[in-house]
Amino acid sequence: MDQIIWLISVPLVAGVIVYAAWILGGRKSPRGLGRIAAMVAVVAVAWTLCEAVDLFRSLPEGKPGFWSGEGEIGLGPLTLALRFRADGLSALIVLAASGIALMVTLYSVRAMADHDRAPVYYAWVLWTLSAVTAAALANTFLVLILAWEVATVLLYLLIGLGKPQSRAGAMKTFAMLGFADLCLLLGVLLLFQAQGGVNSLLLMGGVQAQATDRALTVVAYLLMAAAALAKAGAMPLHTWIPAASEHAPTTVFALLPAALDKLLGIYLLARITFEVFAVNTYLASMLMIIGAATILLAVMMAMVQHNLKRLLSFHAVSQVGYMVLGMGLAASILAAGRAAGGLTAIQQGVAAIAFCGGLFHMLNHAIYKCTLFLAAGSAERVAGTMDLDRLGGLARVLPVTFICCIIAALSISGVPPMNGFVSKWLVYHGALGAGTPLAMVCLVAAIFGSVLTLASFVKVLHSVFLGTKGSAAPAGNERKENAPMAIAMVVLALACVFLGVWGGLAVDRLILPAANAVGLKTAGISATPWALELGDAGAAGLWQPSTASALLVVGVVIGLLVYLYGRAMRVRVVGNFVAGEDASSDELWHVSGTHFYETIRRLPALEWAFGDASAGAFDVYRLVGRYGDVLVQRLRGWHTGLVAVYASWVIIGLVVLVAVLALG
Amino acid sequence: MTLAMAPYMLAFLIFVVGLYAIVAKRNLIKVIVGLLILDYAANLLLVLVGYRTPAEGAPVAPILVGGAEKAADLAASAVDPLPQALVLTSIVIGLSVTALVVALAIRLHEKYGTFDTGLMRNLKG
Repeated sequence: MDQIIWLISVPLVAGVIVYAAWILGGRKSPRGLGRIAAMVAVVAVAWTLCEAVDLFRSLPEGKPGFWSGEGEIGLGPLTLALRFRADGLSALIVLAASGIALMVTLYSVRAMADHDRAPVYYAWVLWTLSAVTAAALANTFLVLILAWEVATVLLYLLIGLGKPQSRAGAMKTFAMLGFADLCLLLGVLLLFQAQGGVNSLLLMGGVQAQATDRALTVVAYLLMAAAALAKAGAMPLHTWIPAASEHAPTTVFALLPAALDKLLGIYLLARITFEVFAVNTYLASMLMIIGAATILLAVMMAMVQHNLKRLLSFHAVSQVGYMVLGMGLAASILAAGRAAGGLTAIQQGVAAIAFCGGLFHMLNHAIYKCTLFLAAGSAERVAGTMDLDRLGGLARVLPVTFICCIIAALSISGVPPMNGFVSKWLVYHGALGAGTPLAMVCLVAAIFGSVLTLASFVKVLHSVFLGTKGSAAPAGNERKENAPMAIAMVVLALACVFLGVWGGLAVDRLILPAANAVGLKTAGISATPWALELGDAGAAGLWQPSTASALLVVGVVIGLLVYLYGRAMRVRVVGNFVAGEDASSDELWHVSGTHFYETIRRLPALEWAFGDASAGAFDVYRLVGRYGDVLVQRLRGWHTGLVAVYASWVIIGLVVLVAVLALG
Repeated sequence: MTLAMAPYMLAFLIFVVGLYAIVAKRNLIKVIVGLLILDYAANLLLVLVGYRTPAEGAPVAPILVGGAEKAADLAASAVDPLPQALVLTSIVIGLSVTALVVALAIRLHEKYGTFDTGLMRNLKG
């Protein structure tokens, strides 16, 4: 219990100290204060990571449910609200969140050094980490909602630290996530109602799962799922991510929407879908459809973007689809089993596979998307723009960033042996094991989405790092890497490789305890450090990541030998024949990658959809704005400003009230 | 309509007059007067409700003179003292409310140079 308190309060207190120093220093940021704040932040986050590792290791082996540390802080009448617990799932979230936060703060030491409000940035980042930890470890909805809300507000503030144009995106983020938080609150109240007031502490775990067979519970589940999906950024509540991405500080985007918000959203989705509610088939199918649609539609939007951060943010939406799809598959298998009167061992196994796939993808996504955003930040630092038309040829200037970006791009595209492959492979197997027609459709969408992801990262790698120098790329070839930023990216890229090559070990140590924690029987997966075998679950599948990696390395070495052999041969080198054009300037021959997929945008079948999507026709926020405005104009008409009119309203209201009370 | 309903009807009539002044008049002073009339209507209603006619003789004010032995007599012939005590308080409250409203009206007059509420439209949406 003490450990949980320390975990939450150390970043909180560190943030308060940094913020106090900023206030006492007259709200000015001399370079020294920024540097000290960065050091404090790095130390505090590193300490949190150590504690999180310790917490994760101290979880009892193989016991689902509660860790013995479940307890409460004695605060008299308030005691009931403050309950925390640590199980496999929440410990995993805390571990991942603090790990990512450490890398981002390390990166920020240099990236945010010139920002005029750097100490505030560090304070807010520390508070965010504290809020995420509290949300993950909370055992009552009260604490969860509080921490959730704090995370939303801090995200709004952090996005606002960007360029002056970032305010609009921040506002949109706050409006959408604030609405989602309201949904969560309503959902919790309805759940309380549905449970008949028995669960007066609003405990999340340790309570009988609520069957979704009544309208009340279904609505409660839908509201809470909407909150989780909005936080994670699944369609149709995703539009805040691309809107805020362009002008927000890159480190903020690497930290929150790319990583911590995903962790929080998927964490809540897993908790409510498997622990709080017993979801029925229709709701599970809805989750699967949302997942598949998100994968496909968001990746198609990503392909045609011209701004690197916007493109990455659409991928951040798209990848959520895999997590939601995995959860939906697991829920639908469990629901089908319950409807049939009992789960077979095979069904349990397949459900566990799908769940593990979704959850592992959440972890992987946090790592590789963070890497990608940090790489983008690195490129922005050098080139001063995120416009793909003006970037290009940065590989020589930023070799480390380039390599990390390649690794993360392969990972997000699900290319073996990277970590993205392992989790996507598990999701695919979950879909195959589920075997329903809907699952097959989702499987096709997921695989197709993965291919399109790779296609769009070919565009990114070409437009940013390869080809001739773009107009914004710095002249000359001297390296512009710097240590803190490079270290952060390299560590994350290595994590991508490690979790892929030792995928079995990762699933065994990190993911299976979490699946156990929400009550899934994980007999179907036998994971050894070297292989993942799905034999018991009837979904015959075997992935030996390490062997495959070795084979891949051999293949690459052979390819290298062939290349070297080719280099060793004597060939005639002549200048390119360009039909008499001037071929001397890079500028003239710069081929930007932005038009790689214009064909898709121009396809007659898709043209209208892309046109409308770019104009915001599918944006919930804009739709609400447009149609809400009609209502607002009507209400404005009623505001005449005359006191007498208001008095009449009051009197009419009173009369109605009296009539209702007298007659009722 | 019985005679017993008369106090209610009377108070209601005055009440509606006050309400009319508040809703229909644009002059702030008249609105304040309307507010006062509302106040009076409520007070009057309370007092009239507490009025009762004893079995014999005229009702007397609920003031105890002549010690405890006269208490039973007084209880038999006096009107209900509770509404009167209440209304006494209500009048004082009405006074302070009026003072506040008048102060606001003066402040508004300083700002707009008029008592016409039709010209004070800052709340317009």
